Amino acid sequence: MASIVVNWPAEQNEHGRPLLWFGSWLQGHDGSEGAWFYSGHGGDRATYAIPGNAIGLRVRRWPNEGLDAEYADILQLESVGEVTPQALDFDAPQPFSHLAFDRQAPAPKERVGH
Amino acid sequence: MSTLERPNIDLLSPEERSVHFNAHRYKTPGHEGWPRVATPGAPNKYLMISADCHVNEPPNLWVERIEEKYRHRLPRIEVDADGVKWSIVEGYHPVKIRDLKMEGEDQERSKVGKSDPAERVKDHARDGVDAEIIFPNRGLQMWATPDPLFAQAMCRVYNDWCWEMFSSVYNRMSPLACIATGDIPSAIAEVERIAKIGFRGLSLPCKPAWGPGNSEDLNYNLPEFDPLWACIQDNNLPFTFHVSTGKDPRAARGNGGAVINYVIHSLAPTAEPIVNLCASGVLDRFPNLRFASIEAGIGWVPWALRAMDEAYEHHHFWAFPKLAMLPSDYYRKHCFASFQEDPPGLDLVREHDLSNNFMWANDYPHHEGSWPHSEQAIERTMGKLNDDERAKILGLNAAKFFGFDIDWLTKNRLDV
Repeated sequence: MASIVVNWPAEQNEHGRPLLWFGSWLQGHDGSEGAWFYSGHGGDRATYAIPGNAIGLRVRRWPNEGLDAEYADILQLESVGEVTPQALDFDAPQPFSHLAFDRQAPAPKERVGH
Repeated sequence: MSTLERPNIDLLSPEERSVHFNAHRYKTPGHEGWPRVATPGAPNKYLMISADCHVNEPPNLWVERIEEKYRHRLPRIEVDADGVKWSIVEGYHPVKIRDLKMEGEDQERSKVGKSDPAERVKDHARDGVDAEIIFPNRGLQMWATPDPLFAQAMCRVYNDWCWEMFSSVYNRMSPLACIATGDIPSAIAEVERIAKIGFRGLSLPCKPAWGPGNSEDLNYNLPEFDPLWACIQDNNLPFTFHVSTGKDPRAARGNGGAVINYVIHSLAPTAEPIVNLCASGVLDRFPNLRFASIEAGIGWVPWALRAMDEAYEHHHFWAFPKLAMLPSDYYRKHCFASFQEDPPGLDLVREHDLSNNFMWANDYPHHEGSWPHSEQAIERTMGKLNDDERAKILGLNAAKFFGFDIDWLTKNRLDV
């Protein structure tokens, strides 16, 4: 069975506390997820067996614990070998984005409030 | 301070801005002549139960515990092609992530409210609070989906977690079980489940079907809900409707959006389930139901009671079913309302015979609440009430509605 190594870093979040990481398998071509394999504050390096139906993995992180998770997807796991989550680009659009608007179209009107 | 005396906000540093906008919290006319007070630690302090507090859930709560099939639908941050970050929740408009810098006591409020009972006890002692009803924080998003089964799955995760956190201190810190009502069989199953666990009450969304609403939607006035009301009544559970839980409260954009959304799209829709229950005959069929609006204030209640009775009597040819009492009578018998600071509502308490229906809350740790200056807020707004009215509104009504043990709370006052 193929496997992948993830080197979960021990970083600080915006509040100066340990950054929380979460890893799960992507198993559907609509971005649906299967089991999760890591939830913690990093400082761990582990090898994970890739499930047969996995098409990739999703790394979540919470730089700000008052907000929902940022995430980055990694596809084509066979060619990756080792993942270093701090090197992933969490500031880029992801392949299974839930943004409902066409990225070429104007952004949705900004709303504020409670 | 008049408008002319206001400083130019744009010229203030974040620290100065925090001081300026929080200055009102310290103002008080005092409590001279009050037999009992709201002063933390005072031997003659009222029993104070905050009917609306919140807990910050662990960020990874739902991703860890939700059924696999729902994980990819949980709220998350997306990035657009321009690198702009958006909060994405199924039932909300995308909300641009803002880099908010809080200072002073605004920052302090943003750091408290965790699930550690020991930390919460210290915060409550400092504010004079003897017991609290706890609602979710980010979990208020659980109902923000058109899929009631997904909502129910999120609610189950929250219910299990908060029972783990608070069951050992439940006589003082009581989260309510959250129920998604858009799918009635699953709602009944969850009510039965949490009743066996031991929750003292329920938090239902203001509308069973998420969204702006139309006449085809399921709603609480319809007989389809009778099995749920029967289940709730059989289990003797009070239930609540918290603001912002029926539709996206961020419906307005642009100038004034934050104020418009708070008043019109967050607070005001909380009246809908209350009127639904008082006007539809549900309370004739289920006379032991008791329920409350939460965080929506109380000033609107006298107006709503008058409006309901006016519609029932003046439009008698359209109003059905015919009820055993006026809608306002059902309100006074079955319904409660929580508020933080609502001087107009408090001014009308006695005139409209509502001292048995209103429940104070500090909304800890939210900024629209009064923590940690509840004493001053109470003194500012409750001076026109008498001692008996203040006692009921500050704690006795909530104790009655939610079933707190007054003797135990009185004997186990928190040390400041």
